[in-house]
Amino acid sequence: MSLDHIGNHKRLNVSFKFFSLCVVSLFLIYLDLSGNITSYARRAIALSVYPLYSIYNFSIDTSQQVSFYFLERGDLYEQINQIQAENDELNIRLQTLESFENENQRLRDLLNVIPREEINFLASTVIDSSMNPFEHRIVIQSGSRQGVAMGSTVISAGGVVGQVFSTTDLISQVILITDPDHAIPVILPRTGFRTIAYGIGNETELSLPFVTPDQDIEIGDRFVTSGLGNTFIPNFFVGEVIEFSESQEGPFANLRIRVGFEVNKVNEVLVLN
Amino acid sequence: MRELKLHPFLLFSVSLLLETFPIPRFLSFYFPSWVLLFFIIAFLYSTLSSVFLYGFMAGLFLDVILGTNIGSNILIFVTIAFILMKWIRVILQSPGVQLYLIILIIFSLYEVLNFILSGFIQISLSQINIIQPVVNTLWFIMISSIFDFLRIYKKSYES
Repeated sequence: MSLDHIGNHKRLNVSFKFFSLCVVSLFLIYLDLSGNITSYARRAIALSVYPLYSIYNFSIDTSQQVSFYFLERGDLYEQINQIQAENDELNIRLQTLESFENENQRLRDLLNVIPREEINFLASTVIDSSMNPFEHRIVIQSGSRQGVAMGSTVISAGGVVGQVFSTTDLISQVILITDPDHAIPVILPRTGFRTIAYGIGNETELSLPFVTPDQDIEIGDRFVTSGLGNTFIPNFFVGEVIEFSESQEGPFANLRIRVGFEVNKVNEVLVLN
Repeated sequence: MRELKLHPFLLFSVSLLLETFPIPRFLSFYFPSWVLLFFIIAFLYSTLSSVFLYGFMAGLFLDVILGTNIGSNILIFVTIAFILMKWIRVILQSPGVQLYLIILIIFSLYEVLNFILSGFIQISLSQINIIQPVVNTLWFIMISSIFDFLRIYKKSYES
């Protein structure tokens, strides 16, 4: 079978098909870039892909259950003791936190400050991560049906992970704060200094490029979300300063922070609404 | 090459399944673009009558899975389908090494198109991945060898 055999008519047919599909593709790109017209189509197709994610999730669950089954009794006791100790410590911290929260509320009442909105937490599992090394993205097994909204903050035990940038009925895509296209407003609680942290494609670090060397910043300082722009909920840990030095190239300092999570090890997250 | 008659839908489903399977980041460099790889395999080894339709669907699903703009991967796959159709005689008559060179060119073209479209519509690719076409070709050699073996086995079994 070759084009010589199928003749000029077929050859024209192939070119016509190619040309018309190119026009359709460019039209779809235009639609997707210009608005949310294609979001319904994206949702519908994502639903049809959902069984694939379910198969993956089932295999992970099964392997976890199998490995749990084969755990030694001693290991289990050790794990229980460890969790118990962590739980006790967290309970003590929670008591302190509650007293701070009450005190904070009283002070806010005295100042007549608008009360903070209640934060809703939604636990979710990571079911996929982007294979492109220049795109730090994950897919979580919660969608708009579970209440995930565009722009929702996603956190893990290690602090802010990213934000939801696309959601369908059952799954959502999250852009990580380490993605080269991402920026997050942060604040240093010790001094009240605000700036913006940018992803640089490095899995563990963020860059804060617009900070002058005269700022009061020390290695080990912890940056948290500032909440400016109303995109991220304030006061969640973002990263710890690992480098702060003068730059030879311009007026700004070299400031890098290490994020509190590892992309490859994030399996469970919380979506904040 | 086309005597094996693998069902294109089956190959498409397998490729999507592999594409959605999460793998550690350090391993991602050694894995191919499964959908493209199986698209070419389907073209060479199965009775794929509507190459454009397969390409369109593959691109559409890939756009949804990867979260890229709908249409970008469709355009790439349709272009590759067109090239495959144009080179069909050359591809089907090429012996081993030449065939692999053509496949390498197609995979390289995929990366270049991906880069151009990414830059054009602001998807975050910062440079062309030079290693990926080679990795894809090596995977193609491995998988096509398996299909060749199955084809020969089937022939000998039938005779």
